[in-house]
Amino acid sequence: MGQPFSERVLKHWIERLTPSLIQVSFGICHDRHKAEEIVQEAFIRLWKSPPDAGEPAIGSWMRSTVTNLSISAIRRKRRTWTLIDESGTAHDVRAERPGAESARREDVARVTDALERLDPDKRAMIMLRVNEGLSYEAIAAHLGVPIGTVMSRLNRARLALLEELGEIDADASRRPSEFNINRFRDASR
Amino acid sequence: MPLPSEPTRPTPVTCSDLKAALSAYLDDELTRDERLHADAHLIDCGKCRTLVERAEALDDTLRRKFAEDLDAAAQEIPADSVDTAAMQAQVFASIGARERKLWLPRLAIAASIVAAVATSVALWRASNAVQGVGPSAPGEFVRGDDAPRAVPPVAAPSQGAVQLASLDADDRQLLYSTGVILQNLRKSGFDNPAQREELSAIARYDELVDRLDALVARVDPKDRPAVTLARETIEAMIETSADPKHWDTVRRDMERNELDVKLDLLSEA
Repeated sequence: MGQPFSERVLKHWIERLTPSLIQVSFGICHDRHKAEEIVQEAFIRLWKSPPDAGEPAIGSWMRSTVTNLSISAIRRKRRTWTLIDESGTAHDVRAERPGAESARREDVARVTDALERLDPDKRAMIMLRVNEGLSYEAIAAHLGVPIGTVMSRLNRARLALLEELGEIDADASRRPSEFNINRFRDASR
Repeated sequence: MPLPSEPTRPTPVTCSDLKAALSAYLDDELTRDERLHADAHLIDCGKCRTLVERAEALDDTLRRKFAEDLDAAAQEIPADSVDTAAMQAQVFASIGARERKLWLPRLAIAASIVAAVATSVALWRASNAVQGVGPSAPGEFVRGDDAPRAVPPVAAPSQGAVQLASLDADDRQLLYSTGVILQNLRKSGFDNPAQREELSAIARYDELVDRLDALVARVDPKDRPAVTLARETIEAMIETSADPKHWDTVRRDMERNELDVKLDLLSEA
């Protein structure tokens, strides 16, 4: 745990980060009230256990924490791809994408669906790496696990997502359960 | 890992190995040698090439999706629609509620310390009033049981000249609380790490260092050294150094200046 800081410093970070963090959380859980609760919880965690790297790390630490909390919040709660229009009718938002963009939209929609079917832990790994752009070292520090664990978990997450998308044979995606770097090293001897 | 002495084509690894290292390959987390072996395999294996291409395309789509999600969120919740003051209030209310649970027993102890000290100070003053002694002049302090002593670096509160108009009740309370903490520190805190920690926790919780820092500018210039030294002493106490020399220095400075008594007088001036 890093050095504690004063209420004044916490107020500064709340003022500076709250809007973007609520947007990050809303982008995941699609519920403003829930997003506000998550951001509030993240600031309380920041107060209780500041990051080891101190103030320079607070921005990325908070984004990662909010991402994790948002994914946990929607655990077991599947978001449906429907919106309620002004007349109160539910409709599938993907169905009305303009044709010109359909291929790209379809890709995004397929990935979105596949991502939501993924186990939340795998989903969190993918978001921390691809969305937040954290290095393996930073993810390991954030989750409190060794780098090797990050490598194997992230690999499993990506393979599981490819499997969900039907891009890879299900059995093939499960077989290499651990990243065994020694196989590469042995091969060079 | 040392590179082979002769440039030879790396031994191909299996499809299973490549699959196991897919993420590390995409994220450039392999060493140079490991990457060479992976690339060598990819030259020969169309199936694995396809896998890598699909995984790269997936990353692109994911990035697009996350960017779109964030754009949609920014449109749904514009930054200027977010009430950061309300967030501050909620966070601090929540922190306060959680910490009160932890602090109630400590506050009870602190309250008993304050009550005991206040009583003893009142008795001491009453005794001094009867004997006709007390702070006699700036730079000189008298206790009932002590001879007058010179108090060099920090001047005594210059009651006649002090301009306390800008000090409000909170400022006086701050000076009084600081005096009580320093008094406890002087009496037994130096030899009692548990009590010292308790006093430090109270000082941290009340943000005494920051508040005294802000107060320095508002007190009469003649009294600034006393408030500054109080601030430094509280800060030194919070450092919780295990070095006995550190505490000897703090104790000596405090006792030489009778800091706790001065603050108490300042708070009532």
